Amino acid sequence: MEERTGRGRGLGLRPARKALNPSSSIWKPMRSCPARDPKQISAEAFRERSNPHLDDDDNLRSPNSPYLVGTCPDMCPAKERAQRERLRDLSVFERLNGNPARTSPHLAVKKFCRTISTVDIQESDIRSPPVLQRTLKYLINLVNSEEHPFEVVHDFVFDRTRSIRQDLSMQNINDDQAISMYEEMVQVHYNMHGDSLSLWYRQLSLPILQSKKMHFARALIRYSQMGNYKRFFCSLEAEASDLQLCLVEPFLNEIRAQAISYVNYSGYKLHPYPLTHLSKILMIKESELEELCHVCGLETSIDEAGMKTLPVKQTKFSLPKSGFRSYCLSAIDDVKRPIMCDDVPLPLRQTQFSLTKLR
Amino acid sequence: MAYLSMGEAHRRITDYLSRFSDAVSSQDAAVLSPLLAVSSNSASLQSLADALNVFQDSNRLVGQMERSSQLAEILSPLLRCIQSYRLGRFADAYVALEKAAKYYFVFFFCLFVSKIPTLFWFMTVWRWGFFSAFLQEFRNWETPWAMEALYTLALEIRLLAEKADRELASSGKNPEKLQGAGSFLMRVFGALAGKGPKRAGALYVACQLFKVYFKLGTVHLCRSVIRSIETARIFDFEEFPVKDKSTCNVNLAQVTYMYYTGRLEVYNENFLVADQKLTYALMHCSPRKETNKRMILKYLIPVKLSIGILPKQWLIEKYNLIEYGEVVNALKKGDLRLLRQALREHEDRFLRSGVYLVLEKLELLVYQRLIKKIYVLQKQKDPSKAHQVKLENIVKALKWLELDMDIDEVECIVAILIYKNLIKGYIAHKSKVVVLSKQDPFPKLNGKPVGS
Repeated sequence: MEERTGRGRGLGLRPARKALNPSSSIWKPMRSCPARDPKQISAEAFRERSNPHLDDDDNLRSPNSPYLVGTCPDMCPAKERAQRERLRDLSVFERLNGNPARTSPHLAVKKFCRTISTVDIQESDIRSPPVLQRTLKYLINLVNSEEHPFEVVHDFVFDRTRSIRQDLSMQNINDDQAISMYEEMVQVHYNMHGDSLSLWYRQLSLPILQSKKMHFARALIRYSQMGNYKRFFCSLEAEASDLQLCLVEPFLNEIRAQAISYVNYSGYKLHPYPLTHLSKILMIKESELEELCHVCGLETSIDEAGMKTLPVKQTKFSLPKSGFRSYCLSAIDDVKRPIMCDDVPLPLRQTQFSLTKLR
Repeated sequence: MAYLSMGEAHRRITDYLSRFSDAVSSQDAAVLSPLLAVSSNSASLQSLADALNVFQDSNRLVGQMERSSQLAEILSPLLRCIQSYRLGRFADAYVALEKAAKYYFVFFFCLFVSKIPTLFWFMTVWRWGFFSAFLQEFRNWETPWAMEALYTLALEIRLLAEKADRELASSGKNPEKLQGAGSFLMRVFGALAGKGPKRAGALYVACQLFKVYFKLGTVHLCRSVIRSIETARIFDFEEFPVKDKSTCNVNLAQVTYMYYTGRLEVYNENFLVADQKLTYALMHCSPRKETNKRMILKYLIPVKLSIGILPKQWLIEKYNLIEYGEVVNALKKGDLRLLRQALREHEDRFLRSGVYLVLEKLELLVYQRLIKKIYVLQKQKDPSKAHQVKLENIVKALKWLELDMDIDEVECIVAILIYKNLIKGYIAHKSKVVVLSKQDPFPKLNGKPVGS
């Protein structure tokens, strides 16, 4: 019986650095998303954001004007680049040929800045959403490259992703693009040092955390961490957008495997579990569920009526070391949702698993 | 403000300079510390500041007095700091203080740093005579008298930096002083966290660093500090007696250290370790410091709940932690609706303090309690059949709590409870019944965190 790690269950909680495929390649607007959608933010949330207030740790929240639209075309505004060259305030990653006083638009990334006033801020200092996407992709690639020591990369990426979040919040962007970027940033954090979700939540503003999409993401995380596979898949089917389904896809099999292990452990020996029933709950084809059971070291069987079953209380359950292949997300009503995995390149493929208690 | 004559101003300044120099030469920390406590707004510092505003050329005075001239690099910026602070120019005050602190630190402590370049630099700055006298004294260093003043300085650095940032931010500038304070304190920490009697100072500075990093949101930077403290094995925490007055500062540093590292363990969901650290902090916290106890309990209560220990109602009321009151009730009653309500109502507070996810995880315990209640009721009606609980009855109980869950989801939850050993038994899928073990069907957590 192996020890379960204190974290690393459910969505995206990984212990060490893993290679990430930047998911921005899959970002195609599935439907048109306006850069700012006031309807997505309740009036109250907006009010909260316009009035700076102090929280427990005195972090002043920036007020923002709804009309701030970033126009900066580079990862770092030219003005800041020039200033930091003069002050020799360049990180190792930003130096051109190792020169501490020279950078370039391809290397410099805007720093996080704890200012609250938008009085002096110009739109040319704020990066537009496509540029932010590009910046995030660049940072993810940096995490993957093993050139520099972990601590150095981490501090740099931590600060620069914070700056991305700041630019997003200053432009009041709360739509799908933004949420998907937040989700990617969560991935980056987990993959870098399994940092706690709690810490990350502390830094997000309440309107973001309470936004419909973030609420949904948080709910999914909650279900997956608890192991509530039933509600997890129900919510996916009911509410998830295509983009969210893409992002969640790599974790589905882990949750399904966990469900299989629960069912196997808690069942009654004389009542083998019907696979048809389970496959509907786990949104997977019955044949593929059968395969998944086998991959996890469990045998399946057929009952008198010819239906496929999972005999329970088997002792040989184990998560496959080489990972799962991707199964298509199958809805109860196949007409409702097209199968996506073939069309869209899959983001964030994992090659290892969090450890689960084995029985 | 009453009129202040040049003569009086002159007197006040020279008086301060004398007191400072005397304190240094007689190694009197108790006198020196208040002279450095800029933000304390003491009457004497305020009157000194007024004098400095009148008598503009204090640097000359510093140079004129023989003993203070040897400490000029510390005193001149220190006076500038006191003057700026009084005028409400906090950014300027911080910059001046950092300069004074730097020289103070280098002056008193670089002797322990084996880095040759620093020593050379030091020797070029100060007159050789005074330097060697001090070197002599510090070799025979018995009591770390200069350390206490260092505590004061470290605290002042942080407090002034926070004020400076507020000032900068409100005038639309970039608030970077606190970050600077973090770097400065980190360097001080680095020099202290080694061998020798100054290790005690390292702990205190570490605590200041934690406060800085938590405020800045760069909590991950605490890691290297913690590593240094642990590898240097600065303390055997049992060594220091709790009620010893002379170790009062040390004691407070220990409590603070355990508080912050305990909080970090909560964020990383290492509940057993978090319990140890926060409990230590609570037990060693001075009885008079009620606010500190409250801060510790704010994190300790969720941790205890995770390992199945409920605080008594009087504790919650005494420390005004009512937000946990409803959570505890929900656990006692097995009322899932109440738990969710409590999380919703205090969502902001819980998210901000970082305990939201910890409390969310308590749902499993609430489910366990609910099912146990059903079992107990069944036992009263018909003991022979009590150990079989129909899933449908759980669905009904939840519906009664206005929670809509279908039988599949209930089966899923019960499977999880069995898997995590919160219920002993099995689910007969075909009959849609959970068959409970006849012995101890609802095991207590026994100090193991839920979900482990």
